[in-house]
Amino acid sequence: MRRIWATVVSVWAVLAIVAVLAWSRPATPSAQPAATPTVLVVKGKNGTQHLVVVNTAGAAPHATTQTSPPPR
Amino acid sequence: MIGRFERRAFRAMGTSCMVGVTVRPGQRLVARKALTAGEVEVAACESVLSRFDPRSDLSRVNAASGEWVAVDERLVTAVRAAVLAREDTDGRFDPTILPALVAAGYDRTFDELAVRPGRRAAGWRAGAQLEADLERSSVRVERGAALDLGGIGKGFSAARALDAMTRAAPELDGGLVDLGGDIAVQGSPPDGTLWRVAVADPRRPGETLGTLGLLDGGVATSGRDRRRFGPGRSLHHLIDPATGSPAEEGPLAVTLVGPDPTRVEAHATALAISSLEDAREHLTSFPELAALYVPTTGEPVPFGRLAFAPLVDSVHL
Repeated sequence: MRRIWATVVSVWAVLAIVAVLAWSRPATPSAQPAATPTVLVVKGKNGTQHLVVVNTAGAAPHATTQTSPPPR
Repeated sequence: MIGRFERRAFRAMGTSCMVGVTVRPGQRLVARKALTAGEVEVAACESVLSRFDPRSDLSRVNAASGEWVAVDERLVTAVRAAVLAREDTDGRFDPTILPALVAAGYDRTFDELAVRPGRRAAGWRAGAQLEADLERSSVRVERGAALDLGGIGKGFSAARALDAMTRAAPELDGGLVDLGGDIAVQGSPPDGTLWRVAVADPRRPGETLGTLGLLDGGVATSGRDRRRFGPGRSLHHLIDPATGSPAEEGPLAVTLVGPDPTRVEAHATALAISSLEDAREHLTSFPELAALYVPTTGEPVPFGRLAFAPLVDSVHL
C-alpha cells in the first residue's frame, strides 16, 4: 500500500514540476515576417474608390490567392 | 464586428472551392440559401465551360467548329469577355490556344496526363475568329480552331457565383467566392472592414507574400510554379499565343487585383507570359488593375497602384 501511495505522490510531483516550468518559462515570440504594408486604390463598379491594404502582419486571411493547383 | 463568416467548401473545376458570406444573428437560413446558390452556379458554369466534358456547351462548339451552336447564356457571356480580353491584352491572352495546349501535352486532366514530349501544333496561328450572339444565345468558332476558357473561366465563374449569392440573399452584408485561388469578393466581411486575401509565395510553399484587403472586385494568380507536366515536369500550361509553345518569358507567378474578377483573371494569364518590362507597360493602360509580379529570380515587384506605403488600417475612400 505504501508503495502505491509513493508512486501516486511521485507522479503528482513530476506533473507539478512540469507545470511550474511551463508556466515560468517566457513564451517564445513566434517569428513574424517583417511588415511590408502596401496600399492599392481600386475603382469599384459604381466608380467609387476603395483603399486596399497589403501587409504581412495582421488578422487571418479569409482566402489565399495562388496559381490553381493541378486538377485532381 | 458585424457578424460571423459562414463558409462552405466543395470541389469543382478540378480544384478546391469555397463560398462564404457574412452572417448577422438570425440570418443563418438565408446564409445557407446564398451558399447553395453560389455552389449551384459554380457547378452550372463548370458544366457549360469545361473542355474536359464532351457534353459541355464548350465541347459542342469545338466539335462543330465553323457552325453556329446554340449554347447556354453563360458561354456566350464568357466568350464575349474572352474576346474583349484578347483585344485588351494584344493577344497575350487568347481563348483559342487549345490546339497549341493539346499539342504541348496538356490534352486531358492532370490526373490522366501521359508523360510524352511536347510538340508544336501543326500550322499554329493565334487569334482565331470567335463570334458570340447574345440575342440568339449562340457561339461560333472559326473552322479548325478550338475554344479554351482556362485562362478566364474561374474568374468568370467566381463573379457569376457571387452575383447568384447576392441575388439569393440581398440582405447579407457581403460574400466571397474562392475557386482554387481565383477570388471574387463583395460587400463587407464579418469584421466590417476589408476582405483579406493572402498572396501565396510561389517561391516558398506554405508562406505568403502579404495580404490584400478589398471591398469589391477580384484577385487572381497565374504562374508556372504549379501545373507542370511532361518529361521531368519540364513543360507548363502557359502557352504563348505568339509561338504556340509553353512561354519562355514571364514570372514565376503574378497576382492581379481589380474590380472585375473575369478581366482580372484574363490579364493575369497575359502577364504570366510577359517580361517584367512588358507587364509594367501593359498596366499603364489599365489604371484600375494592380499586380504583384514575382520574377523567377529576385524580389516581387508591385505594379500599378500597388505601391509601398505606411501601414494603413481599413479605410474606405
